[in-house]
Amino acid sequence: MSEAGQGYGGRVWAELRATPRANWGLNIVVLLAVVAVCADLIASDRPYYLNVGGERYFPQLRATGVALGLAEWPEELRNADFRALASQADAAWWPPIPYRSTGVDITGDVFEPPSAEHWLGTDALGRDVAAGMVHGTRISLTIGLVVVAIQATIGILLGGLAGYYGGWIDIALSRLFELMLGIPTFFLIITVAAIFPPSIYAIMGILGLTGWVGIARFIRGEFLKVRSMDYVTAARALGVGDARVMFRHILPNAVAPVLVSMAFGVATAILTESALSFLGIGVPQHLVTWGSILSESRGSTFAWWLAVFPGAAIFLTVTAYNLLGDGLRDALDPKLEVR
Amino acid sequence: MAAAAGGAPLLELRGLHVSFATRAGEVPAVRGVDLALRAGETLALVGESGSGKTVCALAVMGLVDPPGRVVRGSVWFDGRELTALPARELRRLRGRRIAMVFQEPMTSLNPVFTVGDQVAEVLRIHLRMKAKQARDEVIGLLHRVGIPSPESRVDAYPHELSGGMKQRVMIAMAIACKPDLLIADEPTTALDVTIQAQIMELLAALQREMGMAILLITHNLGVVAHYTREIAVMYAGKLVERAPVREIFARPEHPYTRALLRSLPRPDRAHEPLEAIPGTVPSPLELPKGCAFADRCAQVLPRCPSDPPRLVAIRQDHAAACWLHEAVVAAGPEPA
Amino acid sequence: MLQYVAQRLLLLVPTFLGVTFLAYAIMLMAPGDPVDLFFAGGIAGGGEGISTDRLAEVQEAKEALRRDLGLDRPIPVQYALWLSRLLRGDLGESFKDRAPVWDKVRDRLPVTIVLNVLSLVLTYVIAIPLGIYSAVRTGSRLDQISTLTVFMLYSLPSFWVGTLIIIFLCGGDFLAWFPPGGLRSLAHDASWPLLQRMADYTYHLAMPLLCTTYAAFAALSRFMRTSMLENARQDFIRTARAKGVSEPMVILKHMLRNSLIPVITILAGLLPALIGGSIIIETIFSVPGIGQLSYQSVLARDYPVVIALFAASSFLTIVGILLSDLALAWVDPRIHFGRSSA
Repeated sequence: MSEAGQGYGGRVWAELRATPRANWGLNIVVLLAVVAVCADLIASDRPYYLNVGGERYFPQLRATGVALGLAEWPEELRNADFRALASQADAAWWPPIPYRSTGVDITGDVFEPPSAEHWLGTDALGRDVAAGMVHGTRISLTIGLVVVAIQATIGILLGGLAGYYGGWIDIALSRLFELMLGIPTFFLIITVAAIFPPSIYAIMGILGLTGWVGIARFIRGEFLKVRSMDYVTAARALGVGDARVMFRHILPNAVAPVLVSMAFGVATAILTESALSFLGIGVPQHLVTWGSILSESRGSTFAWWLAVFPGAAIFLTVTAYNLLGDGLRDALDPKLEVR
Repeated sequence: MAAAAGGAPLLELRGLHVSFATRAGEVPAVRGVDLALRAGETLALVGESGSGKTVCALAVMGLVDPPGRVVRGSVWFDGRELTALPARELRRLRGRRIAMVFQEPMTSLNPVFTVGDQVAEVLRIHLRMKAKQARDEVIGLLHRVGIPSPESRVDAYPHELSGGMKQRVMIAMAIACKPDLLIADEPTTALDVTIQAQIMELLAALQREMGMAILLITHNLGVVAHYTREIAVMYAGKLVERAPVREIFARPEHPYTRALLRSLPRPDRAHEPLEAIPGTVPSPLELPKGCAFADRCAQVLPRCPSDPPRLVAIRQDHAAACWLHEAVVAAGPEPA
Repeated sequence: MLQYVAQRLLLLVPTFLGVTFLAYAIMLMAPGDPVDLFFAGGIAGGGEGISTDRLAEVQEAKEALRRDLGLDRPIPVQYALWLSRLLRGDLGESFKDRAPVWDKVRDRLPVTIVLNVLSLVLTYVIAIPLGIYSAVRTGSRLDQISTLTVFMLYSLPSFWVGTLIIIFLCGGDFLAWFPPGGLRSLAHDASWPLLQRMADYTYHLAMPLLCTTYAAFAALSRFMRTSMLENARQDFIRTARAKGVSEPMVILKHMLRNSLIPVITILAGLLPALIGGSIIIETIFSVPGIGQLSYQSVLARDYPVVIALFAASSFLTIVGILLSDLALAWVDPRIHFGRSSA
């Protein structure tokens, strides 16, 4: 079974790489993940390396250590203004975008159009848009992946329970599924997000708790399909537990469509979260996300850069995951014809 | 009814070559097939999957889907070259003078229309029948093909019928306009054994009644024995033998035909193991230069893998493409 | 068939009850109090700088209001009260201004309905022919371009498009082809001739309509194309051709009929999506519809309005699903009523 699984997975992977559109989606997804992980390295108001009067410092590294609780700031660097230090320093290596996403610029550089200093401009509080976008990547991707993980977990669990046990458990859970489908999802999300205190965890929770029904129904369907097959009946007749049989036959076939669903799920989650930020709901004020930058342009319509760039980022990310989902779905389709 | 008299053939395939242009290259499915079928007669085209027999049939109807197309040769029907006809003309012939019954009754009917509707469609298109008249005609046809209670079945949907019933409906659709030629592509393969015989009997009865020619495509030599006058055996896109039924069974000349016959289960040899033909059909992408059967042939000669034998007459009415009959080949002129 | 419909209608009730109870409970369990918010507008804001007896007075007033609004009762009781009022046709009163909820909703309802219905109609009218074209001329330049375009549209965030439109096309620093929002011009008057009034509405609603429609259109298009292409491969299409059916008939009669079946089911998903999307589009373009009201009420914790709109939304969603299931059972002869869900 494992060799078959490997061959199958390997084939799907190869097919994915071969299709240009799917390949692009994959590349962009990976790129975004890299940006998200290395956000601090790309945009930060702490230099990589500082050489002041012969003393060598690695502020970025130090910051990471401090955050992990493994290190402490040396006296001279605590609450230091790195920019001022850097101007006196012998050497200083800065990240490409030398700003923090939440760094309010009190020198009054507000609503700056794109320039040499601020490549994508600044917002109402003087925060650098490029930095905001880089760090926003981390937030969006985290939300997307966590939400999808929650959805898949709940979906597989409930769908599996319904399908495996059948009987009144199935009936009860199926009623639950129907109930969930009758909920106007976006409205509910907005309502919950607006009336509970803003928190990124709440957002992830509510998005996760509202989107699992598709996966649940699919898994349930797979179980039902397998249960009615002859070899399960035969196994039962022999006294062999059918749990094992069912899992062995469901798992390989079910993994793929669930992955497709998850890819599209990430796109939807990021889209929804951005919409919420845009409406000013749910994400705490101090966090800068793509949606929040975009929403600033509503009140100040001259600041086109606050609309174009973050929106483009959302668009690009959603497109990438949709391409990935499409590509996966086509790669899994045994008939290799039309796209 | 066909205008051709007893002499001229109703259907002729002349040097037909059909190939598919795929990403992996040009795949030849039919590599030069010559066939002739006279009005009112039955010819069985026999071969295993992948031999190209279905493609031949589709080519007659002009139904070979792209990327497949006829690359050489021609198909003639009642004196007209089908392969040169414009689409509109061809369409007028389809269902009217040449009809086809397909292999998979389960999927060959449109699930959203009633059975009566689909049979009536042929009548409406070709014979311009009005609804009421068509409906009566359809009920009659359903009755003719052996469907019980046709008055109620006419409004049934395909999924409400069994496989055998669906195939009867397909046959009803095919004979509705009393075609001159009926092409039956493995009409019984997907059906239960008991139903198979019934369907074959039905086809035979219809032929006797309506005088139509039948091109019967099958991989099952045993099935055709009763129902056909002539058998043509295909292998890897080419004809390897062609002879009347009795000849083929009594004196098969091509090793492939012989092997096929040996592999048939026989009640008088019930305790002997079935003989399979060793090896597999060559991939159409990698066809050998010579005889395609060479690597599986029990009587292969040194020249076989490199020199493709032509189909030539060995006796009257009996042609084979094999170097075993070299003497005849060397001396003889064109095939019968 | 009738039995199936009755069965589904019956199921509708518990689902509706379940959904609305859930919403009600969530709102009441949320931290923060609508009464506090209500008072927050006035001097009773945080109680700062107010003498203690004044404070007590304010507290009493709040308590009185709470009792008045029934907020001191347990949740299930409140829900039951609300439900009984609903069944009598009484939607309650807004917390914000004590105006009847129905009054607030009444004028806005047609706006949202018209916008969404127009959207749906436009979507189907364009997407279906496009889908047919894709099946007939698969791989042609137009097909490739339209497939790509549709895919991009599918991924475009509507709030981005709306914002960009407002920035670039609706006055401000760039072009001023369309108004930045609203339903009509200030000068719009009932005495205007019909054509002029229609033109004014069109001028204002063109962009919101565009934003609402393109997403639904993208979703439907993709679906339609896939459906048509899948059907084109089927054996019964070959049978139709073998019968001598003309190519246009093969496509329009045999292929289309089968392809429309799944497309109908999409309606169940499109309707709630449009309702949800209205919230964003109406807010961006300041269109006085239900969506905008929803957003404002949620922010203001105006529970009666929110729950009323939620109930309406949920009702439409459930009905949408029911309608699409029924349509499916009616159109697809293979579906046996009662066993349509596997």
